[in-house]
Amino acid sequence: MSKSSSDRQLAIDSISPGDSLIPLSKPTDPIGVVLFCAAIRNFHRLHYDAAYARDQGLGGIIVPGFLLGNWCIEAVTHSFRTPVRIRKLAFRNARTAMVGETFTVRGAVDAVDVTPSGDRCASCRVEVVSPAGDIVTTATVLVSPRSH
Amino acid sequence: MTLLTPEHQAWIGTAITFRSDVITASEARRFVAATGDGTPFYPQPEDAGSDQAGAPVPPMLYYAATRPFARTGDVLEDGTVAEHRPMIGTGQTMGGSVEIEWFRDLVVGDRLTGVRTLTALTEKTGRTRSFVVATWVTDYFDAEDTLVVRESYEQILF
Repeated sequence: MSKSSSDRQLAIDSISPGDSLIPLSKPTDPIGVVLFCAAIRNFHRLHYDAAYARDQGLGGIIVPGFLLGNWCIEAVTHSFRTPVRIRKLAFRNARTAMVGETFTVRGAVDAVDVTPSGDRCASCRVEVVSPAGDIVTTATVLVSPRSH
Repeated sequence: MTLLTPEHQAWIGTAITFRSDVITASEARRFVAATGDGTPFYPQPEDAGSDQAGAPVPPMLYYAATRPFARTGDVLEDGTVAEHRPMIGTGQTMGGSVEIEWFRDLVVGDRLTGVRTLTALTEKTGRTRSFVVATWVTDYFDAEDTLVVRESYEQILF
């Protein structure tokens, strides 16, 4: 994970639509992917067996979809100065993410709302982008302050 | 050639119930270490030895915590587990879109019961092959039977 010194953390009580999230840089390698497969008990061969993945028409092993979804959550939580609670995540993987590449996770606040219980919620648009600039994953993450 | 048969269609409405072990700080640490997630209020890999009862854990851990421990003989050639879906085409799967709602934090000490229901099977034709999209809706309840997480997941079968 990395962030530039100019990246500004957000505060949920003062955010506005259009505010940028702090981008994440996510390198990938086979060891990291196998560790994630073990952590979620999901061992699809597309994530660790390169010959099998090529037989399936892929260029090599691919990053698990749930890891891409987790990156989208992380991109939001680490962008806020105060802890936030994840309320919703919707994500779709539009392309395969090839292991070995470094991905950028970026996004922005899409909408700000107040729930009937008075919580201020932020809906964030997030995308995972490949080194070639292709959008691999699109997501929407809804957060509220952790104290509520 | 159609992939869907009446036997497959009969799966629609099928509900599968499964239980997790208690979610531990150790399991959360394993997840945090594997994802590289730097969120500080989750149990951290460096804090091994602390139970951290009640501490919030990464939201996506609901999925890891409720996956079955499959014996090697029960794992299919593609690495997935057989009994949780209709066997369509070659029996292979890929993940599709996912929508998850958390009604509260998932915490160390939670024990989840999941009820997964197959709500639809839709055949589609892609550029290289036909496939079926299975839509699963899973409700996860805590030990008090309170809904904690709801997930809608599209699984691609081909």
